[in-house]
Parts: sequence; C-alpha cells; structure tokens
Amino acid sequence: MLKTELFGVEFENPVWTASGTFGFGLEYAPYVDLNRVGAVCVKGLSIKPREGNEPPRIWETPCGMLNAIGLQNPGVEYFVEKIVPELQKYRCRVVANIYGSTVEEYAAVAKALKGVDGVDAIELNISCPNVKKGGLAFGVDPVEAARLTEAVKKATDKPVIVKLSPNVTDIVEIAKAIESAGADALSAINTLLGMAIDIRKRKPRIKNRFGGLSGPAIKPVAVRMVYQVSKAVSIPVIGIGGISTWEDAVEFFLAGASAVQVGTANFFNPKAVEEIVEGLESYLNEMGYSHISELVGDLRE
Amino acid sequence: MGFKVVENYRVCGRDYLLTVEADRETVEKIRAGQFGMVQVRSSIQFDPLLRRPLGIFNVEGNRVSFLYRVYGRGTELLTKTEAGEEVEVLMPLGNSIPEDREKYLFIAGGIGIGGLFLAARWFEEAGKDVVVLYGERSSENLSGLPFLEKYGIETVVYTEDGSYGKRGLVTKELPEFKDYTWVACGPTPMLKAVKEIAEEEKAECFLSLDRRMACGVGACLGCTVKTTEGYKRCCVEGPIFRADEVIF
Repeated sequence: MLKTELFGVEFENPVWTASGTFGFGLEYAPYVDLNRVGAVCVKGLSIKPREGNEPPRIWETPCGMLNAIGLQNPGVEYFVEKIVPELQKYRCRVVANIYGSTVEEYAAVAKALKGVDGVDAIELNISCPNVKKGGLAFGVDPVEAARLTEAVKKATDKPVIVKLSPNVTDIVEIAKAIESAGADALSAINTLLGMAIDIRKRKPRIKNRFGGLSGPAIKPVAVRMVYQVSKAVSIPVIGIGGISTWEDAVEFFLAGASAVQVGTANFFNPKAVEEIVEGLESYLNEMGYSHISELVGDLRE
Repeated sequence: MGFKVVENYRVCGRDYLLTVEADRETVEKIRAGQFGMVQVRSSIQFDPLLRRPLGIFNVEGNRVSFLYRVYGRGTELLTKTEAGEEVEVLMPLGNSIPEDREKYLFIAGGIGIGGLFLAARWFEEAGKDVVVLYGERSSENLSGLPFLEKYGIETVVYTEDGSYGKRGLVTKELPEFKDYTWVACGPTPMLKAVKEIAEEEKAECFLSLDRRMACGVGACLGCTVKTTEGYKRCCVEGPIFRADEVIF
C-alpha cells in the first residue's frame, strides 16, 4: 500500500528522513527501526571534511527552530568507506545529499559516489542558507541551477534529486529550469532564512547571524510551494517542511508530493517517521484508497 | 519513551525536582554524569518545540529524578506537569564520568549540582573518597543540599552573600584538593576558573557542559563544543569533557 517507485528505485514507503536532521541514520538506530524508514537522506556531504560554523548554531523559535550548522561533515570518502557499509545492514534506502562551493566540487562529490553500492540516489543541496559560498547561490538562479544539475547528471549514474530553496521570488521558474536540465526529481523545501535576537545582549542568537527556519512553523509555506511546483513539472516532487504528524504528511501528498521527508520532528520525536507510516496506512484504508499513489495530488478544488 | 510522572515539586527558589517511573532496562543503562531529553509540553501541541536536556540527578529503584531550574518558557512549562501524567524522556544520553579514580572532588555551581549529585552518591557508596563543593548566590537556592545531607555526602557550601556556609565563590579553596580528580558543573565563568586553577595545580579535571540541544543523539550537530581536537558534540562526545581540551 505504501511501496513507492520513483526514478526506477523502489522504496518500502514514501516517508524519508530529511538531510541534516537524522545524521547518517545510525545515530538514531537505537531509537528508531531504520527498516521502517523509506529512505535516509544523509547529512550534506562535501568533497573534503567540513568543520561547520562557530557555535551557537541553533535557537528555538515559536513552533520551530533556527539552525546554522554550516554543513559540518566528514567528507564523501569517509561516508563511502565507513558509513555506507553500516547503512547497508538496514532495508532503508540511502540518499546522499551533496554540497559543493563550485560546480566542479559538486560534480566531484557525485563522481565519488558513482557505482557505490548502497547509495540509491543523490540529492543536490542548492539551497543551504548557512554557508558563504555555493549552496544557496545555485538555488536562487534558474540558469545556474540548471547548469549545476546538468554537470552533476553527467558525473553520476545515480538518480538526481534537486532540493529547492524557498528563499526565492518564483520557485516555479527555478523548478522548471532544473527539470529541463535533466533532474530526476525535486525536493521542496529547504529552510527559510531567518534571524533571532537576544535583546539583553543585543546580539544575534546565532553566531552566523542568520539561520534556516524549520519545524511546524514553516509547513504552510512548504505545502503551498509543493503544490505550485508539482503542478508545473512532470517529475516527482518530494515534500519537506515541518512535517511532524501523519496528518501533515497527507497534506503534502494531496498537494502533489510523491514522497515526504520528515526533518525537525525527528529531534523532538524520534518515533515520528514510524508514527507517520502507521498513520498513513490507516488513513488510506479509512478513505478508501488502495495505494498511496492515488493520494498524490488528489486535491478537490 | 513516555514515563509516568511520580512527582514534580518545587524544592526551593526556582528549582524543581521531576521524578518519573522508568523501566528496569532504561535504569540499568544509566551511568553517572548522563542526561535525558525531556519533553516539556503536551504531545498535542508544538510549542516549545524541542525537548530540554536535563542531567540525571538521582535514581532510586526504577525512579529517575531531574533537578531543574526555571530559566525560560520550556522549564516554566515543565513545572506545570503533574504526577500521573506522562512525559516523553529519551535517556540515558551522553558519555559519563570516569569511574575508576579513588578520590573525587565535585564542584557544583548552582543548578550544576543536578549533573553531579548522582556521581557523588554512587562513588561514595562505592567506598571512594568523595567531597562536594557546592556554591550558590545565597541560601534560598540550595536545592541540592537536602539530598546531599540525606545521603551523607561530605559537602562544603559556599554562598556569595554568606547567607549559608562559607562566604565566597566555590572555587576559592580548590588548591587544597589538588590530589583529587575534579568534576565541575555550573555556569561558564565558574567552569573557566576551575579549568585555569586545575591547570595551575596540575589536578586532573573534567567539566560537565551544558549546551542548547535539538536532538540529544548526535544528529543535529547543534550543541557543538570547541575543543583542542576541533568541534565536538556535547550530547555524544560529552557532556563530560577533559578540562584541558575545552576551549572557552
């Protein structure tokens, strides 16, 4: 009922964990049955290890949080050698989220993942608001986004998902450009750029000044963007943004998402993915759907 | 996991004791110095969003307690939780205090006693030489004292206003204990001072650090601590750090 095939890969279910919120999955293995997770989108990988930003890096906001981690990661080589073999012990699919500061760096990371067993797809992070070079720079310009997508497609044999930024004037224009460049799927949305201030110290709460806003607070923005993007493209759209309950997930499927990623909710409820999977099953039964794919875009307007 | 609240009462000042009935399996895993991520709201609302990291203060049978101070909305809301309700707690988390030394000096600043008491109690019960130095602004906030007395742990109290115990800072007599292993938990200026004195006195010293955390399990990379070996996660490589590796 929940088995989902996207870009030639079969997923046990369409509920994944979002990059940056679930580590490499293994951190959560003592608390979550990774076999019940459709896919783990791992923390953004770069060609070389990255230290990340200076702390403080996180701040809680109403129904959400700001983060500016700065893509701290051990590098793609370490991931391939040490982490992928561990993840292969579980049934969950593995999506390698990748990042570079130039087109060449992105392509190099993609190349390093070429032919690696146990990596099922690549997700391009062109929307990280927390690093100075690259990231968001590619996500706000349709021409640059398309150029990058093409370069990465050439460098890899894996399906390529491109993760969209909400910090743009017209997300549809960018989505279309990326689709034309050959992306296999889109995921939306990354965090919204935000800021919080300590009024006593009169300083930003986060050392990086700005951080990405995530959590239930951004859900309506995400649902709207997934709706707009999925209407405009014919490749699958993976919905992300504040999904914390199965009801939230249903909204995204109705808006046109073919799969969803659970992010910040993992932090305050490690069982979120499992609960959403169960909730979806009973919702489908109750509403008379025989398969999750029937729910995708089934919005009555 | 959801655990039933046994009690949640104000001890004194702004300090509360939350006790939950845990299960045997969870309790057996607990080592001294670890913490739990405690949900402070009901599960039908999303604000405040994140759980709060609280040091495991005491364990009696299957009952696990957290001594916490009200600092903001999260801890304020936690005080409203009543006996009989369920709270979600992920525990035990983090590394723990090395258990193989013979002489321990615990240096607690204020609510920092919440992260040290269990170690003091267990090490005392194991027959080790244990002394607690416990500093506070004034007598009305000494929420750990009744517990230290109940378990008969040798304690020296320092208050800044002299309203209880010795007048002054908890760090003032540290050099007298240089042949002990020091474990400190408290506000950053205190930890910084302890680290410096430990270096001067060449005393072995550990710090129990507190950072804002989102996940508590090493995934979010939000609770970073700057160390001589680069950034470390307070929740998994900590909360117990060697003082000489921490960069303030």
